[in-house]
Amino acid sequence: MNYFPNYYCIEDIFVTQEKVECRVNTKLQRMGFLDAGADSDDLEPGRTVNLPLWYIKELKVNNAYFTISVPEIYRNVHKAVCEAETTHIELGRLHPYFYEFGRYLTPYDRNHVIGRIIFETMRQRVRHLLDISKSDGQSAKSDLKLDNIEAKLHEAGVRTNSQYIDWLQMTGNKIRTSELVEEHQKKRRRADRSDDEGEGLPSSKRATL
Amino acid sequence: MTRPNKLFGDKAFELLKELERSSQTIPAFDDDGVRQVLEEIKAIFEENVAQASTYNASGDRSLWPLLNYRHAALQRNKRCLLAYLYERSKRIKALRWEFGPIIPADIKQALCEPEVQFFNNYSKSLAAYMCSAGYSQGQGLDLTNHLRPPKSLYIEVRCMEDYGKFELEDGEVIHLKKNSQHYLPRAQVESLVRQGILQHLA
Repeated sequence: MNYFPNYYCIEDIFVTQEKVECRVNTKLQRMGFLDAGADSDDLEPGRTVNLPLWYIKELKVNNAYFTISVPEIYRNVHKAVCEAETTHIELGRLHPYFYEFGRYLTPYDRNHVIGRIIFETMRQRVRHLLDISKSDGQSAKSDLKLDNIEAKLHEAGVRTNSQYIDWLQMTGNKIRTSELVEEHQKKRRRADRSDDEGEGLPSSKRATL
Repeated sequence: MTRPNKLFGDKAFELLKELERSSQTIPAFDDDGVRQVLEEIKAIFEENVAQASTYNASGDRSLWPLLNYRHAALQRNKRCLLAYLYERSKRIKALRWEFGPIIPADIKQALCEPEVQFFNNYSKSLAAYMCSAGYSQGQGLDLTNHLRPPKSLYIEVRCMEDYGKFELEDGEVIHLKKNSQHYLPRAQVESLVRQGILQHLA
């Protein structure tokens, strides 16, 4: 969760890996490899290709080569935003990085609605997010309902809430096994178990043979 | 040139995806993947250099978009690769705080030689700093200890595995056997609890 992603930010790299549909405006020599359906070496005008965001970012908004078309998902959400009914949208299903992806696309949107859409969507949903974080979370949470940022906010909310409850009940000072160690132990136990099964299996086979 | 779906940068992205999938622990260092990305970078660079020189000579701008695309791909590969190494080094640093100065053997396997070196250096710097931090009292300050404010000096713990002998600061030696219960000074056993050898009983 990072509003100003740095160079090493893995999430930002994930977002910029997304593909965007672009229309080719001029003949681009020897760039046919970008178009899987093309049979010539050059990229002909009028074709549409899916280009990764990390390339589009490098282009000027009004470049002569490609016209970037805004993905459907933001147009669909637009309607819900107008009706103030965004809490039921399964954002995660629409796009796992709904907000961050939208932020990158804002300059290419000629109607200037994306910026407003992502702002309004978040504004309407954040209250709901707070509510489900407080109610323990696990039951209300569905993976597809939340986008990446929301899922992290939710996680942070649940964690803070449980810390608060710990503090109220004065159980906060108990020393716990560190999370990393716990995960490592679990993994080792799983590995041990599968080793046992691995040894167990051939012997039973031998018995049947 | 018309190899199918050759967008560049996919291999580098795979590296990061693999790393991200194993949320916290460290997957094995992908020697092969890193080498492939480096090769791709080199190939792109050489093609671009060749084309840039003809561009300079002739001033023919028709290949400029291709040049630009490949340059972006090169930068992208570089970014992915650096992020891959950076994220791993971040997790290695976390290891020092969570597991203490010795990495479990199966995790160590996943690290490459420079990373082990990095861990040792990091461990050394941290130790040096911790020694200097409490210098006025004549002894160092263990920053990995006392992560939560203590309520009592002694705590009740149960041993989760056969650990063996453990010597307390006053010289008393206790045997930590599986499922045995002890009443020990909190400050001295905190790290053992953090490592999952002891369990703190309420």
